[in-house]
Amino acid sequence: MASMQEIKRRIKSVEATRKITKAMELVATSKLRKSRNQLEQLKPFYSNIQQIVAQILSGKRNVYDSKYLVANNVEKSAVIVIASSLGLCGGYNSNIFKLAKQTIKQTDLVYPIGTKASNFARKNYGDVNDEYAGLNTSIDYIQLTRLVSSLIRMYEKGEIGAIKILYTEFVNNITFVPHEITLLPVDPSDFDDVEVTNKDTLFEPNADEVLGKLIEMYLQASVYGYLVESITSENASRRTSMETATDNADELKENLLLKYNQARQTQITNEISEIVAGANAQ
Amino acid sequence: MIKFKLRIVTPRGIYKEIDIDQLNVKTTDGHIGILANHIPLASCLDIAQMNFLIDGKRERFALHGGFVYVADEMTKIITNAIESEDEIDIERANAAYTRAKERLKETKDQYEIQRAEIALKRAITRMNLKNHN
Repeated sequence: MASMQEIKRRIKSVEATRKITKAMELVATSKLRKSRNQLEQLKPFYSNIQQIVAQILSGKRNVYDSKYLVANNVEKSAVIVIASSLGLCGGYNSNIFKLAKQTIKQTDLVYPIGTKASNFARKNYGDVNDEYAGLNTSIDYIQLTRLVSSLIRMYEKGEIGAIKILYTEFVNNITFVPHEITLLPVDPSDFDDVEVTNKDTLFEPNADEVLGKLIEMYLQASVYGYLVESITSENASRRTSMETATDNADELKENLLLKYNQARQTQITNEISEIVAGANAQ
Repeated sequence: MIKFKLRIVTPRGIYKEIDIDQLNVKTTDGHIGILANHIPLASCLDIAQMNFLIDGKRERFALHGGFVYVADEMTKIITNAIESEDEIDIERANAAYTRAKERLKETKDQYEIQRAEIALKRAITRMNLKNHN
């Protein structure tokens, strides 16, 4: 049996670790609340843009040959991969990387967001641009619009055939599902469910130009939404795993305390029997 | 005058939702004024000032591009950023102005020029709005 001193030292170390995991849990909880609010705030912006895109698509059939809706037959795609910058968040990163390994081709251009994603991309793919790797900590909308606009320019020039994004959907506080979404070309059937009220809307200067500009804003809002949702998943995942770690620490401490008391009891019994033996000998 | 509902939406949530008499915006084709019962319209907005009238009082804003969407029930402005006169940081606008000017002088890259021009336009819009009083 381990000595009392040794057990005591272990209890102290478990207590210290528990304090850290508990603190991380609290931090993740408050960050989770913040990113959920952000997601909430974005909703009206996103749904309004979606509504107008649906409006244009429903009213004017002739925009269906718009370059944003028809694939341009270029093999190469640009893929945005959203992961975290810090570890200790359960399976959040490994789940998204597992999906990435299945879906991203060697020829694709990878845009990692988060330092973990950037390390992953550099190790596995040749064509990596990590200019925007810090977006998951800054959550800067202006910087994000720059990323999306530059991708759209590349698509327009025919350098890439599609823009895809790998993100983690936030289902609820304990369920997160990684997904791959194709942002461009836009699939018009995505808008079939959106309710359209005014079918004969006037477009100025014309529907094509409005659609072009609108698609850009729509993609910016989508990518921002996916980014915020991934961050929400990350924080929720970290919160859950830190909660488990704290619970484990509690359990461990309880077991160690039991052992410590047992060791103490054994020592006392030994001492008593020694004293009794000594007294008897006299 | 008949009032109509205006809602301004940004990525940070709904910026404003009020009943107004008249809305003046600059589309990519030029300035337009919108009154109540306008026909449904969707148009791209330029980086420019916009303003609206409530009971003869005018409120001005710096708008960083976006969309206006006029429908029967509501007029919506969807934009990445909007600032009222009070919200504008004039020192930042001045700094952005000089920075954009310098970049325009130095760079030859078409895309960089475009970006600098947009930044310049934003700065000028802000400065004009702040200085008009």
